[in-house]
Amino acid sequence: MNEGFFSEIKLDNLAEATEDVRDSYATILTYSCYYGLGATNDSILILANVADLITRVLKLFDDVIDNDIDVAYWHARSKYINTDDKVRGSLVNLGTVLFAKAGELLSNLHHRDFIPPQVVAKIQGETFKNIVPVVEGQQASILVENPTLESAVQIAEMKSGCFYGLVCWNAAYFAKFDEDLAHKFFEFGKLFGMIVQIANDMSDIWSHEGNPSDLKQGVWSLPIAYSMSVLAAEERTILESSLFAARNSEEAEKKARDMLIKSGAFVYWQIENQVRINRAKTMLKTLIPNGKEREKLIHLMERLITVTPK
Amino acid sequence: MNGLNELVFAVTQHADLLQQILANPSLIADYAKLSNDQMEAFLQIVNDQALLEHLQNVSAENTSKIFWTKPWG
Repeated sequence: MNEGFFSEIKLDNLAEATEDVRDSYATILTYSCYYGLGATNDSILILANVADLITRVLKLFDDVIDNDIDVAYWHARSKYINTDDKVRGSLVNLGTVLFAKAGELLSNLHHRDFIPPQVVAKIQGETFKNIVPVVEGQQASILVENPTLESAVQIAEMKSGCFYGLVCWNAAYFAKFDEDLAHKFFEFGKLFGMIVQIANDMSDIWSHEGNPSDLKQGVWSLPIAYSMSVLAAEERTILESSLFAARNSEEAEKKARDMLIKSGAFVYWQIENQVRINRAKTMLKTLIPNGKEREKLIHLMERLITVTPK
Repeated sequence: MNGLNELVFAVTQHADLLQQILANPSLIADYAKLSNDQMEAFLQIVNDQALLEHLQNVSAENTSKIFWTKPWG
């Protein structure tokens, strides 16, 4: 048996967790919430690495579900990831390992002697508890066909909102050991997650970076859920036909996209995102006393607002 | 779920309705049952004529921030 399949996975700084990881929203949130609360211990990088690993697992599963696997990205990190027919299975398996690695990092928290054992146990427990609705949301996004606008929002809140919620909960609890405060950060993280999800869904009605659009892939994303909620029956039928044909026709894809835009999908989701950004800003004023970290988070959210003209 | 979706659809299809609302925002309080922060965000967006027109004619080519959203980019 080959024992080297996962021993040489290169994930920047995975095993030792001794360096900063700042290339994902989850790690930025971890650091900004933690330092924003005035905490200073370098051990926060363990939680940043945990957040980063779980982000990678979710990206991996998303890529497999959407059939747009970034093979070059994964192959650069393990030579056993390749383009043959087994790639999907091996990536799912890799996701399991990455999740176990996140658990391994969490289990090492108790070696940091300044952290009370009950705090370590709480963070471990909450992380695993809160990952369940994230995976449930992901499962629902695969299995629930043509969700209503309300259902689509609920699924996005579970899938993305709860993930960023747990990231913020961990950082805040690690900073202050205060459950009530951590819960408020969870609510902030949920808003942030929805802002990301809305922005992604709007972006993905176009193909970009070599990936086909959601319309071409038959993904029932938030803009579709909106348009189906407001269009008259006859137009809904036309949109459904265009979406079905979009899988094989660029013309049908363009027609579907135009119908989404003309029915006000961008106006609607821009307003929904603005509501969340306004709420999040209000929360941050009381949650994060440190002006520099607070401004960093506000800048990040405003960068995500769906659309601005060039 | 309140009526923000139907309100947005109505004003994007009927420019004159939007003008009436902008002249008298309280018109939509009963119609759409928006929360205060939804009302604030709605007015924030629809009062910006250039942004509103852009959102109704958006394309990948004329948009700057939409592709900023990938954490791995």
